[in-house]
Amino acid sequence: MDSAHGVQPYVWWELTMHVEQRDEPHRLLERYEMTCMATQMTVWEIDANSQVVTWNEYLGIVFKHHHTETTVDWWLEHIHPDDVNCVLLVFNEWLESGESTWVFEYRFRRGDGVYVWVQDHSMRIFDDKGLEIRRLGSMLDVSKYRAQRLELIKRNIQLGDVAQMIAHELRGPLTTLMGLASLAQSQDVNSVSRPLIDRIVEATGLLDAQVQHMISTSTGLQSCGMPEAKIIQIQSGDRSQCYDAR
Amino acid sequence: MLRRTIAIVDDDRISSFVIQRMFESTECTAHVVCYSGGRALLNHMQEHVLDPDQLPDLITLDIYMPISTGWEVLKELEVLLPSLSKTPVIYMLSSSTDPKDADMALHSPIVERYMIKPVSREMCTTMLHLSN
Repeated sequence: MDSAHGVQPYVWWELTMHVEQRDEPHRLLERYEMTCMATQMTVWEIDANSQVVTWNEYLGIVFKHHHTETTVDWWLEHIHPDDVNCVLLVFNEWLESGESTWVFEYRFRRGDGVYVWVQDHSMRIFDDKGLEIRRLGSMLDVSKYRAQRLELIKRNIQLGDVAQMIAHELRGPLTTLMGLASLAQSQDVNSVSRPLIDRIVEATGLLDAQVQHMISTSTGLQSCGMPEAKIIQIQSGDRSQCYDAR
Repeated sequence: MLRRTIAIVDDDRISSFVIQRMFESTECTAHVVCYSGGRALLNHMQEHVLDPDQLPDLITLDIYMPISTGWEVLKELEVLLPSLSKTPVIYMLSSSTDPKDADMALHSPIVERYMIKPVSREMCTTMLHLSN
């Protein structure tokens, strides 16, 4: 068969496929490396049998620990003493649950001794018989994001205080004034006072409408700004105090 | 209509004055007693547990008060009520427009209704009719 019968295109296609298949792992690796670089993501993997943890180079770049392999105990030793029991508790719950993914936030000690907040995403891979063969995940430094989140919560609490102040400290006396004006309106008053009292009733009513608008606006702003999950300081061993990032 | 005894519990004396005058302006004959806090009302009721003439027919209870809040007074009233020779009808009366306050009030088994200030003559008439 010659090129007129499609031999050459077929060979060309096969060669192209061969080259693409040969280059695919390289491209995947490049994509993975660029993703890690962009996100500063520290990737780890635990061998189910040996319990050896393998890390990518971002353990050194982000967390200043220049290791490629550690033990699981090494990881635990670097978790903040106030968080470690909680992390273990939630981690073991995850292992027993049979779920494949886990996300948690805790404080991790960098190589320079500084604790930073990390978000740890983990995943388990099972074989056909349901036995775990690999466990891998990624660790991200979320200290900055967490500080911003806490600041947002603090501001929301302040906003709540303002809403409460408007609702009680301002609307309380205003409703008393409205009641007084309404009482005065119901009395026998002369033609000079009558229109004045009517205007006072009208003005206090308008003011109350504005106050109620302020209350609903500040309450609405407060609920808009609240993140879905509650942030609670992790305390040793107490599951109810654990902060679950999910 | 019967002469009713009304107890107003409110730390704001001008607010109490307004509520008192509003009740007095209704067609019902009302004897209104004002309490600046829940403790004074509870003490009075505990002293007259068996004397229905001394017990209020209707109580208006403010929520935000400095010493005991309306919620705290409500808890004590819940305990006290079964021992009384007359059961008063209780209204929570507040300037708060927070739905949480209304929800809390309505979850109490002894609260008839949650009412939002300012108090009007119509509101007082409604309270009196509902407590008949």
